[in-house]
Amino acid sequence: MTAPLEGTPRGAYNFKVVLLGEGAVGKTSLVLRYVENKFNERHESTLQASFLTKKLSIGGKRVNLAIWDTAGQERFHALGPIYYRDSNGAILTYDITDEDSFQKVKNWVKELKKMLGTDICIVIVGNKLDLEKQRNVPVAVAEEYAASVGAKHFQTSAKQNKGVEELFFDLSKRMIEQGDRIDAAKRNGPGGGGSRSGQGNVTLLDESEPQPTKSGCC
Amino acid sequence: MDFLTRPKRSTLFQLNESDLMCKNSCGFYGNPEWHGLCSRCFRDYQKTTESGPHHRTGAKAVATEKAASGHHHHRPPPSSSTVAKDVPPSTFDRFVSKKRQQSERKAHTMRSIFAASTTASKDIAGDHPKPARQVSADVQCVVREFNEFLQTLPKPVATDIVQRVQVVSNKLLEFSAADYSVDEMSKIANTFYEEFSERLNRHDLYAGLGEEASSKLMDYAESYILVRSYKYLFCPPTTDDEDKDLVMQNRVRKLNWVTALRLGAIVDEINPDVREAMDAAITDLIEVDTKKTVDAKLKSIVECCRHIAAMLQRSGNGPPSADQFLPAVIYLVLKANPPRMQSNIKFITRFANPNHLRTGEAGYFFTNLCCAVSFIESMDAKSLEMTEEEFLQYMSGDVSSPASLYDQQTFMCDGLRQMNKNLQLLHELQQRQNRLIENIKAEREGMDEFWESCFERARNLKEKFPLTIHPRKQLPVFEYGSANNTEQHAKALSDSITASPDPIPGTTTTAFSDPIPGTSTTASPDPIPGTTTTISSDPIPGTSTTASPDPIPGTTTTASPDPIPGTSTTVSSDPIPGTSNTVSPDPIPGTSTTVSSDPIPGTTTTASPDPIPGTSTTASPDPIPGTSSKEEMAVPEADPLIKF
Repeated sequence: MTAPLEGTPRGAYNFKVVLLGEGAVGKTSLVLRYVENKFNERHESTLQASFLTKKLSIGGKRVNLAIWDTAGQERFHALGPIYYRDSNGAILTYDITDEDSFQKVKNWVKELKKMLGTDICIVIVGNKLDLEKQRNVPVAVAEEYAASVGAKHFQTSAKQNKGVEELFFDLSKRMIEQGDRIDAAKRNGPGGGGSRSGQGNVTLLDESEPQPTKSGCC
Repeated sequence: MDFLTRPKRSTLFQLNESDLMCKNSCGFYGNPEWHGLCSRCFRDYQKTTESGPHHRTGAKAVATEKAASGHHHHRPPPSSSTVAKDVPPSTFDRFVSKKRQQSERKAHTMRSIFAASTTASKDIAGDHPKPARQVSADVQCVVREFNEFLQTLPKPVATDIVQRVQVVSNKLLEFSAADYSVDEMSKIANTFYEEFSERLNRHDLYAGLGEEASSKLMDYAESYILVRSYKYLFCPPTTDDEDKDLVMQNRVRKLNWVTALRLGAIVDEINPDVREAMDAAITDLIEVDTKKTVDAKLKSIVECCRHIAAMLQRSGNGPPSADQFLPAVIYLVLKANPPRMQSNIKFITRFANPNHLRTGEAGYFFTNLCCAVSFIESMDAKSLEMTEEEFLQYMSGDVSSPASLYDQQTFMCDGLRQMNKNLQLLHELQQRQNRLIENIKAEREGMDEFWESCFERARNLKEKFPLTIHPRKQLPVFEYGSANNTEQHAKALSDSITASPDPIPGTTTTAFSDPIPGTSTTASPDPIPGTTTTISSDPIPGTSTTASPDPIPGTTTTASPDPIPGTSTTVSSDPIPGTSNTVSPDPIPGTSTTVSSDPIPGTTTTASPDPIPGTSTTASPDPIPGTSSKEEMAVPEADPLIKF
């Protein structure tokens, strides 16, 4: 895994976060708001909004977030696994005025749990809080559901910049914990050691210390 | 391919006849391989110059030349036979031979084109290893860059790196030579990446290395081990990658009718800027296959995707989201039909540093490309939101959709494109113009209708409250009386009227003598018809004095709130026709009288500015803007006076 161990001072945590959700629930707006603090502007500097990175520091730990936006149209649903493969976090977004989009989130949760188990940190986000008056998904229902699947629930408004920062901050924190846990398990668990010694030929190389003898190959 | 060979062919035809003739000018055609001699002269030439072994080599040379001539040069076969007969050929023969020669030459050229194209297509589709020289050039390039980078590192670090990289690289070469499966090799490469990165992160030796340097180092190491064994690792014969490539290419060809819009991408294909980006993206995508390292391939993909993003941005609004981006990538793959797409994708997935693919921009774009390919593979009617039948018809080619805008414009020069764009613009302008004209028309009609309705209304009003001019004698004494139910009034009125046959109202009023002046004044501003009538007919003494000096109603209008000067207006908001009759006796023709007892004040006002000649406008004590309330108070009092 990329997330280096706690003991390594040099490396930073590299996390892949995938944005899932129906089309037009505001996935792109959410991430644009977070990374560039912009909403719905024509900006020449941003060439594309589907892949964005953000560096942050949490408790002295450096974190690089790579945020992958995905196409939300139903016809691309089957491509989901290609996108969320190997991701550390998933942000499942729905539109609080759209009950259907919340159902989609439920489907995504099921799928993610099935494919990735508990390795992935899931956040469920109700976006478009600024349209509170037209709400169709009750907060209580959404929160209850999130708790039942071990996910966090946030309510955001990309338009009014509400809750966006908190959402990413919380997700990052949880991903750090998760990463540390996995790494520790890898280190201590018999499985991790086994897999390494399995490739004996290369391990042999790894054991040899660098020698000062000059190599003439290059 | 075709355009490359075309000029070549034309130059072949431009050979002068003298170039073709034998140098000995014996009249036969010569052959450059025989030093420009014809076969006979060349044999003579050989006889004179040859001796023993030389002859053999010469013959051998001829034999090889003969074989070669099958490809490029024509040796007229009949020439030898004619030589044997020793008869100079007739001009006709020469003509025929020349013609044949030309046509054969043409055929040869065509054949050579085919030969060239088949080798080229083999190159593209097949697993032919690239010429050794080319690969070595690539290797050299990578090695040189790697070396340059290593120079910047401390010596022990560089040595360690070199050692490690060398071992893995050799191992890969060894394994591939021994026909190990690709998966094995992929495993080797991946293990190396993992361990090398671990080492970079943990080993004290690399402690001083910055993050940037170590990521660069990883890239170089990756490039180095891959480029050396590229020909074994890319599309290896042990896999079915090549078949998949062909399947993919055929499928893309079959799907050429799919438009961007059908996929859900908005691509303004007429816009030259968008086209430019699109062309660049297609070029980048095709170039992926020519690159020899994962890094270079990924760089091409990233460039391609950046161009796609630019393409979307120029044709849409703002930075494109993934909802737009993926369809655009799919569309682009369909348009580019890049060679060996599957092999390239497989190669990258197998041998790229997984971390690189997982978090970087390149990884994201690569994933999108994978998604696009996967989508194209499984594309069906449902995913394009069309019926099964329609889809099958398109796929089988029974129904052909109009070529996409991109295809339509592919073979156009910039001028034509510009022209097309301008035509489009003009078309749009014309449409706008038409819309404008239509709007104007509609507006005009609306105005006419409005006029009409105004007339209609006025007419209705007139009908409702007809302006009947009764003989003066029949002044509505009784009506007055009946309306008011005041006998006294009626009597007084009839008396006064009969007493004064004078048509001038002023005088009439003088004849009048209102018994109750106080009530009339209080009632005057009152809009209630019943009361008004009494008032209107009532000559108020106080006001009559003001009015009396002015006997002509026309002049009185100044006092009236009517905005139209000249037309006399009388204000009697009397709804009872009978009372209006009292007004009607207005003796002065042309001047109008009155009306407006329209119960709806609003309509009265709208109608009032109506400049219908002769008709009077009206005015109920209704507040017409501009007139002061004081005037209003005065007017109703004054007006009736004028009337009578």
